[in-house]
Amino acid sequence: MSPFLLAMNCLGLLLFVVVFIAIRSEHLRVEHSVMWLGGAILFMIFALPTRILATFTRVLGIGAPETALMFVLIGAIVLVCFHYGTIISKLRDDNTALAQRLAILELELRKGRRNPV
Amino acid sequence: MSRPDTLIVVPARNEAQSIVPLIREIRQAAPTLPILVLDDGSTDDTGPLAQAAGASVLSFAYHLGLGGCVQAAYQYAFSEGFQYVIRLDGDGQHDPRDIPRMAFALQTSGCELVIASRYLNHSATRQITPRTVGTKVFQFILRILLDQEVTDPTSGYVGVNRRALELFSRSFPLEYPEIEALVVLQRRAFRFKEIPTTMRAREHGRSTLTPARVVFYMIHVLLGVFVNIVRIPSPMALFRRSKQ
Repeated sequence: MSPFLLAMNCLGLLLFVVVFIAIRSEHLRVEHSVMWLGGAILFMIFALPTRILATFTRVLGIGAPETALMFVLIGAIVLVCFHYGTIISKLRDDNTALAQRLAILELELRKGRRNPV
Repeated sequence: MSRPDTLIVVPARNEAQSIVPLIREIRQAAPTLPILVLDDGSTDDTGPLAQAAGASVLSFAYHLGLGGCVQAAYQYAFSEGFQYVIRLDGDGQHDPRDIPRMAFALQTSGCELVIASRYLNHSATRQITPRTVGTKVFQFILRILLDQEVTDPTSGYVGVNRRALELFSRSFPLEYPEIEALVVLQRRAFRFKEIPTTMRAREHGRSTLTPARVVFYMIHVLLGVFVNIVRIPSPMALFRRSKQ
């Protein structure tokens, strides 16, 4: 195994451990960690000295396995970013709906105080 | 005495200097109509001043953006049973004296949306500014999409009837809503018309539309329009429609 692949393997393992600790300490919710954990496992599998990386490198027509691994890394990061983009969009919609509801309830409360039944 | 069927909605953000005179003008133009000011996260006294001037106020916990706070007003108006909502900006650029004409157009035309246009009948001079260039681009696109000319697609001086209220209270573009709302209406085969108005110069504060924002606005709106055109219904929606 080349030093680069070894370093990448350690990086994948480190990512897995950090994400796991973040879940345990409730800094990251389980449902939001799936992409990170999946990415870390995928990265570790690809960085292992198996035929997977060699086959992947050959199929994509990439010169070196290290370059193919970087390709996998970038792909995983793009996927995770997209995943978080969808989460942020949903949170923004939910937040807006809450702020709208709160404003309407406040107005109704003020009106109720002015005209008690 | 029966309650009026029309609600006047005024989105405002940091308009403490102009909101009270505007409410007074609206009262003069339409003395019986209730006024709802949308205080969109102002850092000045816009909300308390509007309330002291006799308007109801929807105060938002943070700056929601125009679409978000207008949608809240539509939700409120719909749940309160109003038939019509007329919206004019809190900066005082829209002339409240046009409210009766707007209400009349809403009640008699059968259109779901009435837009007060500064360009209809050439009531505004067309200087070449980033905004007018953007308006031209949108006019061109909307003429193709709607098969109808809209002279002032970015006008925030609009009135809607209850059918549009029902639709918009459920779904409304959160940012820069005017143009996307037109496309949404067109997809529902709703109708709209324009009436002429004269826009006044802003007396206090500054417009938030800088040239850079105009470019961002255009990209944002074009993307929103495109998404609305090609929106693919979810499999569940298709299934429900087939069962109906």
